[in-house]
Amino acid sequence: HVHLDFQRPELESVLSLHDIKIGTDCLDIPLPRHDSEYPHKRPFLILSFDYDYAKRKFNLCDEDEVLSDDISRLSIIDKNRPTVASVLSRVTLIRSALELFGVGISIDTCATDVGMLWKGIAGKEILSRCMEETSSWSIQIHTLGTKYKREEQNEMRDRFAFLNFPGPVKIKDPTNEFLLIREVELDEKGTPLYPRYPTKDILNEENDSRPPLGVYFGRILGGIRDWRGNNRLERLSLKKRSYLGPTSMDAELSLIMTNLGKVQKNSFCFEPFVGTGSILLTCGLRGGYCCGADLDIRVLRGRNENENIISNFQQFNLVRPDLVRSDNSLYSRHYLTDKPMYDAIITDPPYGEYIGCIFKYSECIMSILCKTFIKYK
Amino acid sequence: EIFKMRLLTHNYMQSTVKGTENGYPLQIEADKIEYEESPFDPDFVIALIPKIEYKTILFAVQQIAERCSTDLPSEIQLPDLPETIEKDDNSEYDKELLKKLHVVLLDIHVVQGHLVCPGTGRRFKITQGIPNMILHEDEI
Repeated sequence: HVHLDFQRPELESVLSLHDIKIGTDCLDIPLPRHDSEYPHKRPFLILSFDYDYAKRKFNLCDEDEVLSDDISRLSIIDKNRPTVASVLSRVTLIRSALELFGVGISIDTCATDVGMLWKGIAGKEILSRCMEETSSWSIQIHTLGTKYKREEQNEMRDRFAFLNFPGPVKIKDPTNEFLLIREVELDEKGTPLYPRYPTKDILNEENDSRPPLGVYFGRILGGIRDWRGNNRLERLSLKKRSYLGPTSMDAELSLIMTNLGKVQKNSFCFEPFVGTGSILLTCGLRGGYCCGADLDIRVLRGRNENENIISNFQQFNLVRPDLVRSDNSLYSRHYLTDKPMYDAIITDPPYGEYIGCIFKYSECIMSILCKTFIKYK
Repeated sequence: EIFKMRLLTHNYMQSTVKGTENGYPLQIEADKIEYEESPFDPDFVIALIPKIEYKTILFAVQQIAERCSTDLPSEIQLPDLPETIEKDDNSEYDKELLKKLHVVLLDIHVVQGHLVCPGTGRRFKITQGIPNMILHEDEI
């Protein structure tokens, strides 16, 4: 939950690195039943771009040509016609993106909405891209934890059979993977609030008759991550860095922070409480030039010659950071303050109750999926 | 050496020891200098130009010149820099100048020595590449 608060700011920061502003260059479309009494934050966001703008801005056709799951994609920002997926791949708190074909408050209304796609110029182009005879396809169904039998799922799929994709069905790694989402209310832990089968094999009729919060149908963009979010940045896994300390910030949080700080190639980054340098390392991975300072000389020196901040940077072939021992709670004691030196100052200040805190964020993120949809007008 | 200090870092460090009216720029007593090449990125050097005190760079270069003559590998020379940095007629920086700046700012490192407060003479030790700027209670 700690991180979900950053979801929107992180997205906005990464979009701004691509000169995209929500409200100006795209619109944030309210979700179905957004005015319902459901209190929790919903895990989806619909961004609507003017189609001509989208065509100019993004590489719409080569969705498969995304950046490989490589360290380099942490830092690359391609302002010249990136794919939607490559832009969003930088956002840590976004699991996947759909090219949204239709949305509704029920499967029927969603299917009707999808059926309208043919009627617009943009819609025709979007659908045409899926209509190659050689393109295999499949429809995945995501019900946010609600159980549906196979026949029931197939019934849902059949509602979209009118799309008539000519190519063969292929379950694993098809050319086009479509996703049908039936969104329901979740509790804080991310499990359905009104499960169909609260007791095993016994259908709760009342829960079953509840309408969904929303139904979405679209095409999954990009190959960077599968929509279940399994494609984690393995290389940044804490285990793999040579130097860790008891307070090493989890890699994912430092990814989020460096996005919020808009760290990119040649950003001059400063970490006034650098500690073991987890955040600084992420700045370096994003292409920043790094300086760190700390009061504690033992932490600066690291554990030994193979386990220290410098060795972490060397492990990833990054330019070395400079480190200074200084007391940075009063920065001006040691440094000039009249020059705009830094592009980003990102740190985890060492005061307060965080020491000893156990982060359970990964469970929160896992149970609450978040996705961004791009809908073309 | 594992840790090293660049002249770029020296560029914005100052002393605020009690009793000093002017703690900038710090003098450099360089006991050991190392050269470590890093990839030259002209865009980065250009971005640095408005951020640095150029006069301090010239000063720092003077301070370390003698140590450089003994410690730098023979093929590396401490670049000689112009009095001021200016753009050429095309409103661009000369590439050779940018390369020199790159070497001076990023590739020449002080590994052992002291930074010295110009006002009070207070010496801040650079041990194994990390300068220790911590002031004592009575210096604050």
